[in-house]
Amino acid sequence: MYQIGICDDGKAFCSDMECMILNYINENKIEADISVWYSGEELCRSLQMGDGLDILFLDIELLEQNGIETAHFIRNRLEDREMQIIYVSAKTSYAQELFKAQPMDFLVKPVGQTQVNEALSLAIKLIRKDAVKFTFQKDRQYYEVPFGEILYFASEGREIKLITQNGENRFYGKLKDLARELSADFLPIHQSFIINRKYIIHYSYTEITLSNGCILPVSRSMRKEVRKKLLREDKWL
Amino acid sequence: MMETLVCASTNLFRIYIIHKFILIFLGDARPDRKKEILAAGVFFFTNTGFYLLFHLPWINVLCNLLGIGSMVALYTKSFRTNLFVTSSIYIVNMACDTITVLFIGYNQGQKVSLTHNVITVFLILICELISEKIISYRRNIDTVESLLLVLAPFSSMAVLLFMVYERRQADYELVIISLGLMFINFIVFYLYNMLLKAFSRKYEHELLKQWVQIYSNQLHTLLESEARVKNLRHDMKHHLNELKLLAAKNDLRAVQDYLDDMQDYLENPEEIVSSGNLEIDSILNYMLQTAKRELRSVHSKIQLPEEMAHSFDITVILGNLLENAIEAARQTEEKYLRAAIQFTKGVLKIEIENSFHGLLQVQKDSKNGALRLETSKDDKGKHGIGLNSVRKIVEKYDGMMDVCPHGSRFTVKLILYMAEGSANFDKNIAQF
Repeated sequence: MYQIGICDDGKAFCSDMECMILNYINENKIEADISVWYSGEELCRSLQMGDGLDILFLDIELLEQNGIETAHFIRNRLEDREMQIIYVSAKTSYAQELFKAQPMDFLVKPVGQTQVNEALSLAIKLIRKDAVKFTFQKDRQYYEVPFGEILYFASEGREIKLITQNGENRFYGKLKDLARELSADFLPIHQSFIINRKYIIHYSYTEITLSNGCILPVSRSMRKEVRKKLLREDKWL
Repeated sequence: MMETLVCASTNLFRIYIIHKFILIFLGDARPDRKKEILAAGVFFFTNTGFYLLFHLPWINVLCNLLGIGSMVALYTKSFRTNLFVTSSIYIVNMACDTITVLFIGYNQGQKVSLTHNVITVFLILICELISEKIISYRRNIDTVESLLLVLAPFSSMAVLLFMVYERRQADYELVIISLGLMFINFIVFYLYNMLLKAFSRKYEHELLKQWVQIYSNQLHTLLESEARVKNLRHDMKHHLNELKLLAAKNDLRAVQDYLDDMQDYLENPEEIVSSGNLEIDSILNYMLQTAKRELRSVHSKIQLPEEMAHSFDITVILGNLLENAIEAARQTEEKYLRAAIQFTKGVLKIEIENSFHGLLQVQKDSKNGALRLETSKDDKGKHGIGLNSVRKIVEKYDGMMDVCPHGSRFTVKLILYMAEGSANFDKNIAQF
């Protein structure tokens, strides 16, 4: 069951979007709830009450509290990094701040059915991938963590440290063996770090910044490899 | 008298070559020209003076090292770099000296040793030209064929050596011929450098002219968009009235058509890109307008934040790649072009795809195994500058570029690492 939200001050636009989303979920037999808000404040209030959203179509030019502030609130105040935010705007220029909320995509009004379909299918693919669980053994017990919650793995001696949004865990193992099992979403940047690309907020040639503010070095020997991955394997427009 | 003249002129020429040598290593720095002439002048007078007065080897060595060192010091503040450059240049000088001694011996009297000076200078000149060629090849810089220039000092040297061995001429004749040959070499070398300068100035001029055109095009585009909005606003009362009447008649179809018309009118087909980056929008609109005029199917998707940093470098890349892509696509049946630009998480991604007829010469680069393109364009020189400047910028931002022809499509993909920051276009173009 996916929770999909639309936040736009144009009522007609909202109902139009709702229609297109309904078309998509009926056609693809996806279970989803659609909710609509006409202002950023209303959206934030109901999110604060604990109603989670998986996917949000967010208008940038909202009247009072605009899309930038709303997205900032979701990411930083509510600390929700899982939500797939898709910005919608009538303009084609974007302020620098918009990018800080790591939107999944930008849609330009008027929005058509194909664009909605593409955005939704990508968002659902990403959410599904995040829900898959990583299992590890510690003290003869098995533990599970959804891949989507893992920030990065770090090797410390004979142990591997697993850092998630809520804390950390340790288990015995070698990072090299682990690297082979992980999907392409996990990027080895150093002999002692493998990071979840979802949480990267800034790349440079020599270091990578994660959403929790942590800056990790890209080792000299891995730089070219990381760059090649960015160029060849990444999703392109 | 003759000795003074030969020494002074060989020394002068040698210092000029040393200056060129320093430029090979540290050409990017631009020191004060007056200081440079002063340093070279002091070096020239002390060196020539001490040489003529004392004829002591250790004084010459010291004087040369100090002179070259002080000239290099204008280009770099790092002591290690200075030491490296100064000693390399001095070693080349010494080596040329030694080779000359090997050729004609040392104990054949005063006058021959003056010819010796001239030959040494020729040798240093040859070394300079060859190393310049090697370095510019390594750095992917295009120069006019400069290796051919080596023939001038080489043949002069051969003539001199021949005369020294034959010994048919009187000594003073030999010295005069040496001086003449050296003078000719100097002029050839000097003219060659002037030519290079004129060449690059012409290129800069062309570039500026192109930018004026690009900007005026953007201005025109923006004015056109503005005019459309203005017209619509001016007639707003009329449009609202019309819509009201249609709505009153309950003719929804007509209302929709009318609104569609208004929307169409509002959209300026010339303003293809408006990301809020003046320079990038200008070049993209200019290039994509050209593409839409000349090609059949043109697609673009641009996702850039406003006020991108380093926009000058981005425009150089876009300008060159799009120009090539349009040129190639124009020669095909399909006439297809797609440009995608995106900046996320500190990484700028550019992808440009075009249809092409598949007759492109692709060469394996001997150096790094990367594919190198040979264009079918007539103006090979100009074109080379384009692709090379793209490559240089990609290197500057630790980026990477993939060039892949596959079937009837040709794709260039590249990424650059760019930290966010404010725009500084003006500073960059001033440097240019």
